[in-house]
Amino acid sequence: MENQENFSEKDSLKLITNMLQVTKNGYLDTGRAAILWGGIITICGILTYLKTIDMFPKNIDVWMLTIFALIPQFIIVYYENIKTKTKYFDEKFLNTVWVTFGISMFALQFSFGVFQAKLIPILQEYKQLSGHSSGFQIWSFFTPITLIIYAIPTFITGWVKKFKHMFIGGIICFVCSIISAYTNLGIDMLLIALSATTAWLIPGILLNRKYVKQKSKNV
Amino acid sequence: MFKELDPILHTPLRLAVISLLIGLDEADFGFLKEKTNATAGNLSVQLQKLKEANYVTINKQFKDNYPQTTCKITIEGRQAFENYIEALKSYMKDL
Repeated sequence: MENQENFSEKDSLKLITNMLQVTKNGYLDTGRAAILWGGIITICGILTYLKTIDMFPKNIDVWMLTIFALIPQFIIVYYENIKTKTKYFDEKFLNTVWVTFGISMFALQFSFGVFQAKLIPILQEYKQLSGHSSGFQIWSFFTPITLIIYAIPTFITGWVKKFKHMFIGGIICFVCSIISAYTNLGIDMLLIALSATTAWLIPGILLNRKYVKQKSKNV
Repeated sequence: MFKELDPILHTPLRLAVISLLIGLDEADFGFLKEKTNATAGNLSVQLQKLKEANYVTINKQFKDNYPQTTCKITIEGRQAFENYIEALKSYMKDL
């Protein structure tokens, strides 16, 4: 690289091609965030399902785990940023997509919480007037929308990175979203667990394996 | 008719650095050193020349006790790289 003599046009072209190839295949995701969130959501989904069939205490809010998972998430982001300052265009774009996903999930949970608070008095009034429960549960609307929001960044990431496992995971989220429009809350939770496993947990493990393999090659 | 190749870019290390930076948002010094197999001293000198030509920007800072030098290609750098490729094409036609 340091020899400047006899640097021909052909050498130039070869060098440019090699360097472009480096940046094209260079961005390696550690898969840690995907494993973390895939694992957490799968566990939360299964435990919530168990709650619906009275096999897990109803007074424990398992979804609080997602709040605690933010701590390791911040640690992962912090250390991965310190390690290297090299930013690939793919990485920057996908980071934006996933930050948008995080904001969307927060906004969705917030709005559904507000809707639920407004609906409870109406449903109670209905019960008093009619003498029976309406059977209406706003959270049954939550699953199809949640799964669509899961699917979008997963599908985009799979497509952009040409990572078929995540691409298929995104499609599974879309399919589960449609199915969940016809199912009850218990099954919805299993669909969420299935989506999280196929969209994040399994692809995350595969990405991490690839990352470790690549790193051990470079040592 | 051969177009003149930009002398700033027509050296192996500077061309390698620009070819890497064209595909990245930004790159740190260690990354460029590793991918180009250059020595730190030579890479510093060549980066300085690219900076003087206004082809790259270099940002040096300390973050959490870690020294960080990051490089980014400028619009002029991108244009120069595109012109270099165009000029290179005129040579390739005759090969």
